[in-house]
Amino acid sequence: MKRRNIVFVTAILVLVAAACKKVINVDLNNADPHIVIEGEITNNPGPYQVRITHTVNFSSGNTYPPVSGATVTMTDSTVKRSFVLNETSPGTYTTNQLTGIPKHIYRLSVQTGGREYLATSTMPGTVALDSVTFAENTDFNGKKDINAVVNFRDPTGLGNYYQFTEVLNGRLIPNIFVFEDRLSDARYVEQPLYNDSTYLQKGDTLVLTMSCIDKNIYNYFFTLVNVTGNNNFQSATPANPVTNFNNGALGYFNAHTVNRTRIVVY
Amino acid sequence: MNADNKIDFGFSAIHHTISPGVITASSASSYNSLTLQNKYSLENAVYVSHEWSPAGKLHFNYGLRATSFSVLGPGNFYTYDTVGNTKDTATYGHGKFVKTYFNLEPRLSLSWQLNDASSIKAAYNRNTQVLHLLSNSTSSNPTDIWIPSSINVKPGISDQVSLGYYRNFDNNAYEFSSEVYYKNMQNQIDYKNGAQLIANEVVESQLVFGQGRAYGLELFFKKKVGRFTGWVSYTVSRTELKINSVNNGNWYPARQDRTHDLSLVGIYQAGKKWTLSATWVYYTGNAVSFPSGKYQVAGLTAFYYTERNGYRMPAYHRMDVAATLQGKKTKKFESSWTFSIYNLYGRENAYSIVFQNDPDDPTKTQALQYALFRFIPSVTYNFKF
Repeated sequence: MKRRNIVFVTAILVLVAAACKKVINVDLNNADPHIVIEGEITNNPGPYQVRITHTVNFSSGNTYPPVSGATVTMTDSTVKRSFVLNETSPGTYTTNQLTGIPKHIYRLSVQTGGREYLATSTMPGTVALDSVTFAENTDFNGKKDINAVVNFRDPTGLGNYYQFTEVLNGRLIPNIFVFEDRLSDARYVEQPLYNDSTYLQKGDTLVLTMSCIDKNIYNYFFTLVNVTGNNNFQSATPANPVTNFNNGALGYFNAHTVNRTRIVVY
Repeated sequence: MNADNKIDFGFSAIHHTISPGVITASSASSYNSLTLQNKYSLENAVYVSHEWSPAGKLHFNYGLRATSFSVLGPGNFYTYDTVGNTKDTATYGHGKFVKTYFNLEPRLSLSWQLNDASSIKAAYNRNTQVLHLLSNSTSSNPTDIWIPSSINVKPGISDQVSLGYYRNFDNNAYEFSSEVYYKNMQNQIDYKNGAQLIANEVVESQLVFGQGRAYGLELFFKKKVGRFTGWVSYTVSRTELKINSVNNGNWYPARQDRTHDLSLVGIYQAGKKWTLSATWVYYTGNAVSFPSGKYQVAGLTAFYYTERNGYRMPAYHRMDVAATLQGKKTKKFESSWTFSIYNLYGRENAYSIVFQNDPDDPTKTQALQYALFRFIPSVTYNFKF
């Protein structure tokens, strides 16, 4: 009698806790292909790259057709000099003719398919990265993992925006980390860089880049997080990120400073 | 005044203090402590209503409510340009009136008894809403933010008309009602793309405003006598919004818009002690935004969205059954046992659908559905004394 009860209760528990997560087929519309432009200029010597691709349907594979034959021009609006980029491989346009200077305003123009797409970005002043340290963190599942911690003093005055990228053992960690000083003006910031996808292990080589970015690029990456596939917090109103390109182009043009540190994880 | 004539009147005054949020940070923290400034307001209302039956079959109930909502100092009051930057800051002292909204809220309902078994009702009313809850996620959240109306946020106003026909059959053994309604809403609030609602002193710069409308038909039928009783109700409706900077300024369904909503309830008295019951509910899923394409930036797969709330979650339906055993009933104590199963056929009703790279195949993307509950059996003991 007792054994039957246990089996009965277990069966109930199994039924109740049964799989609640599954892959489904959703019938999604196919939008017309849109152009996607990713461009940057930094205060490190070039070359600088602009990559142009197209959107694809959700049901297609993850290969994005490059756009060739576009006319790409990068302009330093502060000194009024323009440079035309060369297509060095399909969809990738490069220039080696200029070096970015902090506080200058840059413009990128892409002409393709009978339309012109323009974006403007201002390279901020440099902010020193004091150090990169490491801290152990216990995540929701009770697992301990190591995170890099960036330490720096935010300059007095609102309007400082930062982006951090990590390359672990030569591979870029696919994670977006942007930070603004709206709640931290003039503080000494010690910010761990949390990521869900890659585990840092002692002895790994980490190349960490701190970039000072302008407000439009901060807004772009902040809103990009809501529409990427690696996100746990789904917004009720997902919408395309606020791009600094006009005319319906997706993507961004990012003029930013670069502060790179190479360090071994401990 | 007399049996056919009744007048009600009254007034109310409420002083609201809203504290939008506080951040407490230690000196070693990366964040500054922050106290968002409190918002003060005064809400007054005076109303009068008259209930009147001029002839036996006709009843009127109408009234007027006059409200005033005043935004009070102390504090800084910001105005914004179209992009959301702060254009102007005005400072007011303690107790100063910054802005006052006057609104009249008339209401009128009449019912006309056609005969012993049926009647027609019609109503019109206008309502205003002065406090707003900002919530930017799919379910409610302890970090949702209350804001009062202000110099930038006007009180919401709704006008609703409704017309209904009610009929009883077989000496009140059966009840039937049907009602249509139309509601027009002004000063509705939605969010800019990428809105920053948390700990934001200038949170009003993240809001966009427009209009809304809702209309529908509600049907209801109930059997009240006999061993077998129950009811069926069905509503078909639409609720939509139109805001300049959202969805290209076209009408789009509100997230909670529910096109079809059907409930069936049956109760069967099986004997002296046993009662069996079953419920079946069905409703259209929430209006949601799903991607219509994808691309790659910064090494990540990003999804491309076109219209706002252009897709629907899968329809929700489930059946619940229960059996109740009545215990011995005395003057001082009665009890019963209820055995029930929630979601009898265990349908995985979608709670949310997310899009991501296929973890097993990085060259593909997939849609993942989360459901909350499947079968939940339960046993309940009720008692009363």
